[in-house]
Amino acid sequence: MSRLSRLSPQAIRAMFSSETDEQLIMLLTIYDPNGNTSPTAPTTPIRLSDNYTQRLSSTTDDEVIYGVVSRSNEYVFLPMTLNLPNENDSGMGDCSISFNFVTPEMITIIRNHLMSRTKVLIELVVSSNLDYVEASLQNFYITTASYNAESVTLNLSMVNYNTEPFPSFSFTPNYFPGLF
Amino acid sequence: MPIPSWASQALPQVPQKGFSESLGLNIIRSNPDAGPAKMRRKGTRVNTMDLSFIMTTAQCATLETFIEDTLLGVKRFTFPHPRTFTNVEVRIVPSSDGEFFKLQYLAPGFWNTSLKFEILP
Repeated sequence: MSRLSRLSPQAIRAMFSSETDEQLIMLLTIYDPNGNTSPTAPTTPIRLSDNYTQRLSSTTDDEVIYGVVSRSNEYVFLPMTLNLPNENDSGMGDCSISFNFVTPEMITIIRNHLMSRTKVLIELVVSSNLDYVEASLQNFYITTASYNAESVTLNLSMVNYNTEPFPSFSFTPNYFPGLF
Repeated sequence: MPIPSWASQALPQVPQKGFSESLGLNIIRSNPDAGPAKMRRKGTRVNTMDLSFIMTTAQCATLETFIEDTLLGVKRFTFPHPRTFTNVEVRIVPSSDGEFFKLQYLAPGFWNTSLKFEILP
C-alpha cells in the first residue's frame, strides 16, 4: 500500500497546497529495546523534535525549553537533519541523523550509554494534529555515532536479512545423513 | 529564581526615538520552475528590537551590573514592550565580537546606549 494513502487528508492537502500553515514535524525517539533497568542503560527514552509548537512543562525561570507534546509525551526541540538512505547499485545507503548541537552531556551519553543495542523511532506529525502519526519509520538501530566540534551524527541501520543464511542449515552429511 | 525584570531596575523604561522592531514568521518558500512559489509555515520566528536609551552615568553602571551579575550575559528577562505596552521575555543579542551594548557620549553625565533585544516566543 502506498505510504501516501495512509496519510491524513490534512497532511496530503498540506503537501500539495501552494500555501499552508501546516508544519510537518519529525519526532525522534531513542530508546532501549530491551528496557534494561541497569543504571548505565538508556532506559529512559530520549524524545526530540525538529520543530516546536510551544514551551514545555519543564521550562523553568532559569531555562526555557521549546518542543512538541504528542500523545502526552514531550519532545524537546533540537535542530536536526535526517538523511534518508539513497539507492545505488551496491545496495541501500545508510540513514543518518545529524545534530548541529554538541555539548559535553551529549558526548557523555554517546560514550557511556551507546554500548548496547539502541533503537530509534522516527515519526512524522502535522502541527494541527500532533497526536496522529502520519508516518512511522521503525526498527532502526544506531550502528555508529561520530562527533566533532560542530555536529553529532548517528548512523542508523536495520537488521540486514540479506546476510542471514537461508536455508538455515547446509545440506551436509552432518545435518542430513539420510541424504547421503 | 524568578525571571529578572528590567522594570525593577533603575533604568529608563521607554526607549528614545529610533526604536525599530523586526517582525515575521519562519516560512519555507520554494520556487518551482513555473508558476507561483510554494510557501509553508515553518514556525515562530524570534523577533528583534533595536533600542537606544539616554542614561546617566549611574544608570550605565546599573545596566552593566544588570548584564554581568544578574543576567550573566545569557539569561532572559521581562521588558515592557514599547509598542504593545505588555511585558515580553527578551534576551540581549550581543554582536559577533561579544559586545552587549554600546555607549556614546552625549553631554557631561549623559550617555546614549544602544542595545538589541530578541523577543522569545
